Amino acid sequence: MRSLGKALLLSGCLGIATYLLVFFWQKHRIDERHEHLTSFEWFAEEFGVTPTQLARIEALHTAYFPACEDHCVHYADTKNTLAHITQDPALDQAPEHIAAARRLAELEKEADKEFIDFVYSVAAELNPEASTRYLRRMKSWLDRSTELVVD
Amino acid sequence: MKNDPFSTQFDHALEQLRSSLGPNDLDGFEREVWAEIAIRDERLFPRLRRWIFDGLPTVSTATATGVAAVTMFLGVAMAFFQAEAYGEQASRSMEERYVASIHPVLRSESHAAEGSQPE
Repeated sequence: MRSLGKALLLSGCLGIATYLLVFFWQKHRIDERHEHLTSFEWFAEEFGVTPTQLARIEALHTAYFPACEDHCVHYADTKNTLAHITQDPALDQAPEHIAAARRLAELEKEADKEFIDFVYSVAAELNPEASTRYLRRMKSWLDRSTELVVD
Repeated sequence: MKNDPFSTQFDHALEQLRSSLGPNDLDGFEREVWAEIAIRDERLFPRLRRWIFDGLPTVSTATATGVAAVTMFLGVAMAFFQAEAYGEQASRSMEERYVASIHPVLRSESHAAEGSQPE
């Protein structure tokens, strides 16, 4: 015979210890897996890319990255220029100010278009289910990038 | 049903002794001792400890083992549930990194965030 109080207390401690042990073991496993994973490897794993699809999709990514980087640099420069102009009260509503703002808006539109074109070209290589899932998830980021620009 | 006969009998004897004594039967020292006992009895933690260890009924070893098994199972289930949520969060962060590599605006924001982080 055992005291119910002692049994409950010991069981509670055992339950908490088991929880901590299993949770931190799982967390360590997840962290270790993600630590050595590149974003492209994550994509391939998440959307069940087969080895045959992988080569074609990797080629698409490799071809797209330099153009994306160029666009990124151009966007950052324009944004920086606009920030400097905005800080100067003398240039408020000046032609340079309007031109920089217009150029930034154009670059944002172009970025979205490039992103959409690229995402669709990748989706075309995926299985139908993965393709739908990929497009849905990428669309949520497109909405977020628009929010980011508005902010 | 109490699990410790000594504690049960001791508590019972103490109660009897306490009730048999009138206020005039005690000298100064005894009164102090009884007052000390009364204060200790009123403290929450010792009362709770006494209730947990002596106040609850006894159960069979099989029941105690069953309770332990259930709490362990709950611990494992909760850990897996939490780990699943943690895994989804980690996956979301990988997705963010992936998108930051293919969207020029988000890529630029990502570079800016990295640049603004303290060394």
